[in-house]
Amino acid sequence: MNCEKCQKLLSDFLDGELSDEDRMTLDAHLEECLSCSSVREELDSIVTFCRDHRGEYDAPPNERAMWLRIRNTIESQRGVRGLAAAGSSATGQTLNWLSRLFGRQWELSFTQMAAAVVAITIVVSLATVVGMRRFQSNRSDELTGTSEINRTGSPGRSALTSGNIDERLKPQQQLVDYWNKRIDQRQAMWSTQTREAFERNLKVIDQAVYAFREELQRNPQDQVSAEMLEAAMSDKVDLLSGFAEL
Amino acid sequence: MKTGTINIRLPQACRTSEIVRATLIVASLCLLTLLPASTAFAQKKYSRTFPARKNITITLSNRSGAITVEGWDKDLIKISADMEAPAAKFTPVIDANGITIDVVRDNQGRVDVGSVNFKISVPFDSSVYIDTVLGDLTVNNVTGETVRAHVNSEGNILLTDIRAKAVMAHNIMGDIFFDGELLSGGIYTLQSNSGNINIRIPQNSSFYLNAVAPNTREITLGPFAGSGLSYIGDKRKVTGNVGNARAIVSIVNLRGSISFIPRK
Repeated sequence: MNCEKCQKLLSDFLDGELSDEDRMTLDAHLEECLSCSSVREELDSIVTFCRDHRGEYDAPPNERAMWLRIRNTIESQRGVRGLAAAGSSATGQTLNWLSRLFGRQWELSFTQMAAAVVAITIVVSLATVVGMRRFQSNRSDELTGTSEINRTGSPGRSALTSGNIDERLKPQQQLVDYWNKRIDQRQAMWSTQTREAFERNLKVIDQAVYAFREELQRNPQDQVSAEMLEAAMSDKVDLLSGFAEL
Repeated sequence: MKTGTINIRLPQACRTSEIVRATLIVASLCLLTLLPASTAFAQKKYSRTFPARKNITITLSNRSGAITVEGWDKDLIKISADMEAPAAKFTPVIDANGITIDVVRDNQGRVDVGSVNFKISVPFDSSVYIDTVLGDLTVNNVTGETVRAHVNSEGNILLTDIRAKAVMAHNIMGDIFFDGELLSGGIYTLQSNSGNINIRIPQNSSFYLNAVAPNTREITLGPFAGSGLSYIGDKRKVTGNVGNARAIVSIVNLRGSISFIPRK
């Protein structure tokens, strides 16, 4: 038997409610373990004192206040322990704080409860109103085509300036740069026919990219050109990646 | 003492044999020189037949050369290839899904590799995924789940008698022709940068259409034009429903035309 099990059984032991087998095991452990033996003595003295003085004490005048004092005492002792453990890691502190938060018993009066409900209602209502306004604003932007492309992330819905065309095509341009490097490494191994085919097709794609870019410079809200520019860039990536494998 | 030169005259027969010998040596040297060249220009051929179950997938990635895939009524896959010199190497890989040939991977790192022209016969209900960096692609008489034909650069794509739920054709330069049925719930994507796209489908086909031809603005809908479609962006794009929109058809041709042809 270990100390933990022993101390769990002590109360039953003192009340004489243990089985013979458990009692014998417990006795054997108490003879060997000083710590458990002293716990038994303390419990025994408390039980004996209570039995001897039964009926001599009245209930405290303000039972609720007494329990609050007890709780405050326990809390303050926990606080002291917390300060003592201040050198422990930040994770440990967070866990202590969380365990205290969730382990705490929240007892609120009716007034406090009502105030909390009102406060939550006000916060939720405000959040809903703000959210609805933002949603309506986005919708109207979409309908008028004035929302910023960086915000929506979808093509053609918004004005495309030269700067944000580049920004929008950045991922594809990065791929183009990557495959161009691979092409530079591999190009020397190509036949003349392969090289000519590559250059011919690259020229066609670059012409398309240039044309749609120009169109977007003229008309930044041209959704079709924005889509086609992306398609042309995608073709370019496709061409480069295909030839880089040769 | 009289001195003089000694003239040695070979007999006539001996001189003739010398000439013959010299001619033979020169001829042999010429032959030896030309032999590798003739080998270099010779085409190698490959032909093998594999057993196939139903609904297999054939996947072929080629470097350059034409690929023709035909559906047939046999549970066999027949692969024939003409390899131009320097001949490419490839090893078909067969697994539970079907057969895969990757000429690109199998020849990576080689300085120069000749074109390979494939002719492949597969069961009708096969799915077909064919890619080439350069060359024409043809798929005929296939009714599998998917038909995908992709050319990284230039090459015509010809898809005829196709009855598949997903069809994708994509090239940079070259024409695309699709002749088949649009199945309910199917998705059909055709895209070219510079070429003409023609799509021939039954007249009663119903589909959602998104067609863009920004450069030519030539989108010929024929009998499929209707009130469900609307032109966008100065007639560069047509979008909307034809009939009940049972399939999705997306066609993008950056610099060429798009034409719908009714199939009666």
